Amino acid sequence: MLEGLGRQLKKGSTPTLLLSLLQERPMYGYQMGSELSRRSGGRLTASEGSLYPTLHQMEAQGLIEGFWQTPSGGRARRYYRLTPRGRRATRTASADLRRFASTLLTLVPEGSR
Amino acid sequence: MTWPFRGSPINEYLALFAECLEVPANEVDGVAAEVRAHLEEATEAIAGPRKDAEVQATLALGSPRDLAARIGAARRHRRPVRVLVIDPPVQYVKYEVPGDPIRVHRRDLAAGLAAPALMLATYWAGVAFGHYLPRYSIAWAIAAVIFVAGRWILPRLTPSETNRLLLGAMGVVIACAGGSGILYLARVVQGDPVLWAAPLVYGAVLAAVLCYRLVNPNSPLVRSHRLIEDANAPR
Repeated sequence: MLEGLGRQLKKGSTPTLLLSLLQERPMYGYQMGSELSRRSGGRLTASEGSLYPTLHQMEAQGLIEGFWQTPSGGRARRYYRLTPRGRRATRTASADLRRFASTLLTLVPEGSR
Repeated sequence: MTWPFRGSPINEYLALFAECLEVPANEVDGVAAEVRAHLEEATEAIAGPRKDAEVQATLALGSPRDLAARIGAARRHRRPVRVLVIDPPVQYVKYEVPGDPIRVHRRDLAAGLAAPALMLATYWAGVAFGHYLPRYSIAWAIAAVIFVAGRWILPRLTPSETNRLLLGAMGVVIACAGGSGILYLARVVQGDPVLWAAPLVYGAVLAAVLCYRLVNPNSPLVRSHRLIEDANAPR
């Protein structure tokens, strides 16, 4: 039962992580995946297959909005940015995730077997 | 494209992806362009020959059919705002769903799909009640319930979900017809053998067609392009 726990935790926290990234600045899908991997030192990588379904779902929920932008000399990419509703949802979700993680850590202290 | 998915050239990947994507027609190109931009960037980031890098990049994104289904999932189960055509002589019904292409359901196909279940219901009504009760009336009463439920459910499903639902229904019909046949051959029950043999064969043929349609959603053999294009043409 516990074999997929890490995967489930990661999957459950992906929307919050993506929203947190977008809180800083608009980003495109590939960039978000790379940023997550870079910031976590490679320990956390958003599954590319779930990245776009999650982004499109959040867009359908009105949390983020996509727009096309072509940097000079670069290729056109679809960037995403937070909507006002998404900004509120990010604050709530981040607080929930922090609370949940700290609760888990009190229950499973370091070095426990 | 092979199953399980082992990666493919980008163009091949995107062709199948766009074909399976169930989002409004004017958004298909945009979503496909977004995925293309991702794949191009991922390919450039992978060292080695371009061809192998494309295979690796597409493999990381997963099966195009699966990705298309998951991206389209956010639009599922949306209530149609109105039924556009319900005239009895018109053999299809068009549904308008906000933000989606107009969906077309052919009535004759729906009746054709319900036929094997009806035959089976008639068989069992005959076995249960003999000639004392109107077995055809019983079968049609059951059919009426199914039709009303189907009329509510089908417009809320995407085309691939509809295919899966109908395929599941055919599976149940085949299993029930097979079970009825075994009981008949073992002389446990009697009745008109045509009414279990025909659903068995008919159900198997329809299941094969539905399987084909699920794998090849845009094949001209199983999809009425003209009907759908006409329904979505600017008015």
